[in-house]
Amino acid sequence: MTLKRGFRISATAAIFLLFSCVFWGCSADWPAFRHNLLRTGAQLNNSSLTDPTKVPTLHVGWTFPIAAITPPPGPFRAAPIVYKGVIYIGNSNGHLYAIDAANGALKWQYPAANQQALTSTFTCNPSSEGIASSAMIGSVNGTDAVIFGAPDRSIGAGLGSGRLFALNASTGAEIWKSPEVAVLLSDGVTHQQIGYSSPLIFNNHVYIGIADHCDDPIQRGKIVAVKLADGTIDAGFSFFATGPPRGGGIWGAPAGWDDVYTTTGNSRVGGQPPGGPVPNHALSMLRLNKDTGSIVWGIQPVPYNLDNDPDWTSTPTIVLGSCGTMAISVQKDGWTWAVNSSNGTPGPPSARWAFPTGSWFPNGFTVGDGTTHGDTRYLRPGAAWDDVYIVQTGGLPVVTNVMDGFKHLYALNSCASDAERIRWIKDVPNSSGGEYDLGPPTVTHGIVFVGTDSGHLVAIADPSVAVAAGWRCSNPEVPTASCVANGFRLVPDPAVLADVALNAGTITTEPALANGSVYVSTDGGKVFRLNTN
Amino acid sequence: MCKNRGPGSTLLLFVVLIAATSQTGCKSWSERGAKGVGLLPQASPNETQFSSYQPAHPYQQLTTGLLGRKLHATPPEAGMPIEVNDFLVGPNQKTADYTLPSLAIFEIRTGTGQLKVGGQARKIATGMTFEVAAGQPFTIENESEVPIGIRVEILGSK
Repeated sequence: MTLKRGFRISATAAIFLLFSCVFWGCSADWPAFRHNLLRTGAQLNNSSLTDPTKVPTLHVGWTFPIAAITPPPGPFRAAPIVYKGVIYIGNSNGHLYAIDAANGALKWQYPAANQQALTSTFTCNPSSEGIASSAMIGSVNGTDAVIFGAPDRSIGAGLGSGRLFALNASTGAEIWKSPEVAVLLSDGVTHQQIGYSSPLIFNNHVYIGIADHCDDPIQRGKIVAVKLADGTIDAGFSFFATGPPRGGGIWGAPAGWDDVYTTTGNSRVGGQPPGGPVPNHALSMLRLNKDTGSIVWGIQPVPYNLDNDPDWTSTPTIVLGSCGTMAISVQKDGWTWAVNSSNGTPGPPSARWAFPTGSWFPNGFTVGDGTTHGDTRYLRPGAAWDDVYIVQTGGLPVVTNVMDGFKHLYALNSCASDAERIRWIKDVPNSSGGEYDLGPPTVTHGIVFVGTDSGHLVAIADPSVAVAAGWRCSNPEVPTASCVANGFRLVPDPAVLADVALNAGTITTEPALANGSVYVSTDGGKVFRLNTN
Repeated sequence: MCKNRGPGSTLLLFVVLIAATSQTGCKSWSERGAKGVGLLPQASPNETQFSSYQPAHPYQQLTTGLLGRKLHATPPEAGMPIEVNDFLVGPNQKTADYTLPSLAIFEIRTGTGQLKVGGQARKIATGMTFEVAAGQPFTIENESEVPIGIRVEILGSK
C-alpha cells in the first residue's frame, strides 16, 4: 500500500466516520424525535443505560420545573430532545423551554413569558394545544439551531396558522421563522395544522408534515420543505397526499435516509368524489424524492372502500437491517408493514412482510377478507435495534380481537421468516391495556424504555441482555400450556429491569436516552431526568 | 514510509482517531444493519419454565387441535338461546372430531383450510359462512401458517 493510497483511505474513513456520526445518529445526545433521521428511537452509545445491572437503580434526578415559572407548564404533548447539555421541549401552553440538563433549571423560554404564546384559536384535542411538535437540532449557517413547528397568531388570519421556527440553541434568539405552512382560516373548512409532526432536517431542508384539527374537516395532507439556511419555502418540492378536496393528512414525522419517507391519514369522508379523491395516496406509506416530493413508491394496504379511518399516523422507521433497508410502521388498524426501500432505485415497492400475515400480504386487504380497518389507536412509532423492531401492534389476534394488541409490546425480527417474526411479547406493568396506554418505546442496546398511562417509566431487557421472566405463547389469547400443542410458538416474556412511578400524569411521549440518563415528559406538565446509581 | 508522513497526514490520522474515540461505544457503523443481533434460542420441546402471564380471556381446549371460548350468551330467560363463540385452529393443525349440541353457524374470520362434516370435505376460507347441524361430528384442518379463526353462533344451545 502506498502512502498516497493509505492517505486516501484514511481520508475516506474519516469522512465516512464524521458523516455517519452527524447524519446517522451516533450522537450520545438525543437531538431529534426518535433520536435521528431514520427515526429509529435508538441510542447506539454505550452508557449505564445499556448495563442491565445498573438500570434497576434508575431514580429521579430532577423534576422540571424546579421552581415556579411563568406561565406554568401545561401537559407536555411533545417529547424532549437533548443536545449539548440542554433539553428542548415545547409545551401545550405555547412555550418552548430550554432546560439545563445538569440541574433542571430553565435557561430560556420562547416566546418570552410576557409575549403571545404559540397557540391556536382552534383547539379540539391535544394535537392542537400549543406546541405538540417535538423539536430537532440542526446547523443553520454554522449556528446550532433548535427547529420546531407551532401555531402562530401573528401570521395569516391571526388564528394560529402553523409555521416553523429556528432558534439559536444557546440563546433562544430567532434565526428565522418560516412563512405560513399550515393554514387556519375561519371559513369552517380550512383547518390545517402541524400538530404532532416533527421537523426532519435533511438535505439542507426542513421537512414538516401537515394534517388537520380533529378531522374537522380532514385537510389535504402535504409535506412542506423549507430551506434550512433561511426558512423560505422551497417551491421545487411539492407533495400532496391526495387530489382535492381532501385526505391523507401527515400526522407523524417524516423520516429521512436516501429520500423522505412518510405515512398518510385517511380520506374516506363525506364530500369526496365517488371513489375518492384522485390521486389518492391516503392510508399509505410512501417514499418521496427528497428534492421534488414526487412519489418514488407507495404502499396502500387498505383501499378506499375499506377506509373506516385507520389513519397511518405512526412515523415510519428506516431499518438498516442485515437483510436490507426497510421502512417499517404500524398502521392504526393494528397491522405492521415492512417495505423494502429499494436502494435508491425508483420503482414499485416491495412489501417484505406484514404482521400478522395472511391473505392480505403482499397486495393489501380486500372486501370479504374478514378484516376491519377503523379508528383503533395503534399510533406509536416503533424502535429499531439492528434487525429488531419494537412496537405496539395488533398481533396474531388482530382480526378477531383488534383491541388485544394494546395489552402488549412486541419485538419483531424484521429479517426473519413469518414463523419467527415474534421475538418476544411483554405486557408492560402499570399500563391499562387500553388505547393510549403506552408511549413510543425507545431502545439502547437491547434495553427498551417506555412510558405508561399510569405515569410509570418501565425498562425491559431483551432476553439476549438479561434472562427473561419465562416463556409465553406467541398468541396472547392462548394459555401458555396449550401453546405448542396447538401449533403456536413459545416466545420469551422478557424481564422488567425497572418500573419507576413518576406520579405526574400519563406519559404519551418517548423517553429520550442521552448520556446515560433518561429524559421523559408527562401529561402533568413535568419533565424528569432519571439517573442510575 | 513513516519518514515520509507529512503534517497533513498526521493531522488526518488525528482526526480519524478523535472521531473514532468520540464514538467509543457507538457501534453504529460496525453493527447497524451489518450483522443484526441474531435470533433468540427457541424454547426446548418440553419447556415448562413459563412466565406468570395469563390471558385475561383465554381459549380452552375443546378437543385435540381445537380451541374455543365463549364470547356472549343470551340470558336464560330469553326465548331463543344463542351462544357466540370463537374457535381457533392453530397453524398446520388438524382437529379431532367435535360435535355441537345445537345447530351452529360458522363464519370464517381468518385463515384457510378444510372442513369435514359427516365425511364430506370442503375448502374453507376467510369470509365463508355455513351451518353445522346439531350433533354432527366435524373436523377442521389448517393447511397454513395462518391460524383459522371462526366465529360460531350456536342456536338454541342451553
